[in-house]
Parts: sequence; C-alpha cells; structure tokens
Amino acid sequence: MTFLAPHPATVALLLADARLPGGGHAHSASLEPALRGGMAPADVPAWMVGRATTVSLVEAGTAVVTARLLAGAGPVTAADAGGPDDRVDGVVRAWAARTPSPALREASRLLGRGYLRVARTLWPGSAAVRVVARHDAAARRAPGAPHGTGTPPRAVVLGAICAAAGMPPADVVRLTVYDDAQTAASALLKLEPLDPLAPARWVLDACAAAEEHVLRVAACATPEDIPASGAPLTEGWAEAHAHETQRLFRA
Amino acid sequence: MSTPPRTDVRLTSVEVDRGTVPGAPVRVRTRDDLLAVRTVARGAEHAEVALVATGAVLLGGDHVAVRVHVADGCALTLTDVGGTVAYDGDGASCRWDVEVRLGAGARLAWAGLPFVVSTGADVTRSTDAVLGAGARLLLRETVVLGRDGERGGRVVLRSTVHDDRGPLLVEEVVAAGERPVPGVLGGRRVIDTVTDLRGAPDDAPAPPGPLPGTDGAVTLRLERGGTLTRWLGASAHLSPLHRSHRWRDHPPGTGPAPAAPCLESA
Repeated sequence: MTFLAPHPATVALLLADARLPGGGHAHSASLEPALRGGMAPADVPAWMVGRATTVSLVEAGTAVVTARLLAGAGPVTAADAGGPDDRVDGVVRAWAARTPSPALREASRLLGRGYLRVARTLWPGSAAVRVVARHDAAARRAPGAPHGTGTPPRAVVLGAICAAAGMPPADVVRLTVYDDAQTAASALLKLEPLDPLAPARWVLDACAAAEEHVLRVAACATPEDIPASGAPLTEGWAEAHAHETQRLFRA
Repeated sequence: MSTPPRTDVRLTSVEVDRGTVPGAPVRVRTRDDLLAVRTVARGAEHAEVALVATGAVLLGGDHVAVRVHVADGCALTLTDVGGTVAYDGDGASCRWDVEVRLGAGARLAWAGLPFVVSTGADVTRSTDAVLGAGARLLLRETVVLGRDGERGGRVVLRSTVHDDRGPLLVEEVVAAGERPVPGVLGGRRVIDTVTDLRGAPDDAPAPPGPLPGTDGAVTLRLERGGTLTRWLGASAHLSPLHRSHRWRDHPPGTGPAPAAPCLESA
C-alpha cells in the first residue's frame, strides 16, 4: 500500500489548527504576561502587530534556517553516535542568544517538547525529525551544562517538520507569524470579554504587517542570518509572569 | 542654509596592552577624531581613559566608529565626559558603531552616559564585541528618546557579543518616539541596560537572586551565562541601575592581590 505525501499546504493547515494536540493551548503567546504587566487591553491590536514584526520573526527565521539545514540531509553527523547534532546545535545557540529572557526560552522549549511528540508520531521516517529528536535526547542527557547546547525550542522542531513536509520557506514564516498571533487572539477571549470576531481581525492585521518581512526572513540560510528583533517590555513581563502562582497560561 | 552632511567614517580608537617591561604600566594607544581619548590613569594591569567629544556629534550623516581593543590580561575603564545627542538630521541618518575586542582574561567596563535621540534623528547604534577566553565585558548603555518635551526620533540598537564558542547575545531593538510599539518600549522614553558578559570558559558561579541595586529593573540571565539588566522608564535620572563601574587596582596592604583588578560599582 502506497501513501502519497500530503501537500505542504495541508501540513501548514494541520500545524496551525488549535485542534492539533501539540500543547499550545497552555500558552498565550506572551499575552497574559503583558496584560498582567499593565498593558491596556486596547493596546492588544498594536501589540500583536509589534510581535508579528519583532519576536515572531526570530522564531520564523529559526524555523526557516532549521528547515534549510536539515532538508534532504541524512543524519550523518555526531547525532548517529548519540551526541548533539552540529546543525541543530548552531541554530539552537543562535536562537538562545536572540532570546535573552529565560522564561521565554523555557516556555518555548516546553512547546518544543510537545511539538516533538507530534513530529515523531506523524513523520517517523523523516531524517530531519530524527536529527532533532536525537539532539533533544542528547541535550537531556547533559542538562545544565553551561556551554553545552540546550533542548530544541518549538521553532527548531517546527523547522524539522517543515523540512519533512517540504514546506516553502515563505510559508514557514507565515505559519509562524499566524500561529503566534492566533495563539494570542485565542487567549485574549479567555482573559477579556469581547466580540470573538474582533481578535480574528487583529490576527489578519498582524499577519499583513509581517508580510513586508516575509521574503527577507524566508531567505535566511545560516544561523547568523536569523533576525534578532527584540521586545524588551515583553521580556520583562515574561520574567514577572513566570514567578506568578495565579495564572491561566504557562506563558 | 545647512551645511552638507559629513559622510565619512570618523574613527576613534583605544588599544590597551601590556608594557614592554614587567611591572611597567600598560600601554595605551589612541586615535582621536570626533571623539578624543584622554588617559586618566595607568597601572600595571589597567588603564582608565575618558572619551571627550571634540565637536558637535551626532549630526545627520555622521558615522562615528569607536574601536576598543584590550589585550590579554589587561583591564580598561572607559568613561564618557558628556552624554551624546543625536540631532535632527533633516532626513539624513547617522551611525554610532562600537567595536570591542577583548583578549584572554581582558576586561572592559564602560559606563556610558545617556545617548539622546532627538526628534528627527535616525540613528543606528551598534555594539559588536568579541570576548577572549575568560574575558569580561561590562557595558552600560542608556538611550533616551527625545530631549525635554520631545517624543524623540528613531533608533536601532544592535548588540552582538561572541566568544570562541559562538554567540552570547544578539539583539536588535528598534524604537521610534513617534510610533511607540506596545511590548517593545511602549510609551517609555528610556531604555537603560547593563550588560555583563564573560567569555568562555567562565567558572564563576551565577550570583543568587536579583543583582544588587536593581529595584524596578529586570535581570535576564542569558543562556550561556552573563546577564542583561534593563530598566525602561520615563526619565534617565529615575533609573535604579548603577551609575558607574570601574576597575581598580588592588589596594596595597590588603592581602594577596587577585589575578585581575577588582570591580568597583558606585
């Protein structure tokens, strides 16, 4: 029996669907920390545009570079011997250097873990997914090493899935931006009473604002190319939120 | 009629290395341009120098480059004599690029004074640092959007710090006084940052809990060690971050000398 591969666009739909049990429901894409930190609910649309043109592009670039480095390449590095993979290592280091908030790194790694379960189950034969899974296992065997690599964040696992699915880089960027915006929009309905269609409009506006960056980010080929656009207030809010006990979302 | 913008790179540099004779003071080589370098003190391992503006900076079209090289085992304290104002460039952008190279075990403390981005200014301010093994970089960068009563211009703040093992910090913050972005700086005018990074290998244990003297600021512990302590607020004088850091020689008669000059924060 032969199965044809699903079209990459179908895979994008699956990954962007909140019904996929990947663990994203526990996250608010930094929205709950922002509102707890004092951001006015009226600022949410502009804040979503801000994310789509800053931190989402870091995630998107990380996924694009991972996909590019792992596309079509067999797992022929040290990963075969159970050590960390140099390609994944380089991307994880670049992402971590661009993610100064430990709370955001931890949240993203938690999401990466859930995504890895999705990836291993749905693309068990993919070399790209296997490379990331082995890297994850190697990083878990040596946790806390100050100069060792860490476990892969969500964007790196997403990149491996995109490599497995053959998704075009521009779609990887759009998927990342959309997913972040929709995660915040969905969380907003649980945090603030409002017309459920209002945030859907803001999701489209945020994605439209990112559009002028899509080709630039899609062209990223090496870890050094990954955008480094930061959001200092968001980082501060994330740290404060990580220490709160009464919260609806993980981050 | 306005003067045509200056467009060439204006390089100021400071290089510190060991004296040729053991025990002699460190050598300080300098190059002046829009900024002049004044040597304040020299010891066996460390030097303190001040940067003084020699004319109006920053004007539209200016490209100031500051190169700071500290050789293996040496320490440098840099101080600014005055803050810097980036003036309305009338459409012309300006740049302020800092290049830091620290040798093995070298140290740099630079407590910069406020850098004010006037309304109409369009500034790119970059810091590119490479740290040798065990080197330590301590930088304070205070950027203020607008002079009194102004909302401020546009600024791109770019920081890239590497050591032998790869990137420690890569960050770009874009802010414009006329277009505040919630989550980036919001309506805050001041972004005040102390960056404290070490080149691998770094065996120093991370200090427990919040760093001293940083109430209201957020300390981010970076993946590979080191911290970025940041305060965002309305006015630079409200910042709780330390006003200055400098290396100092080991005071005589106070026990065995440490391997490198001590840090003094005030």
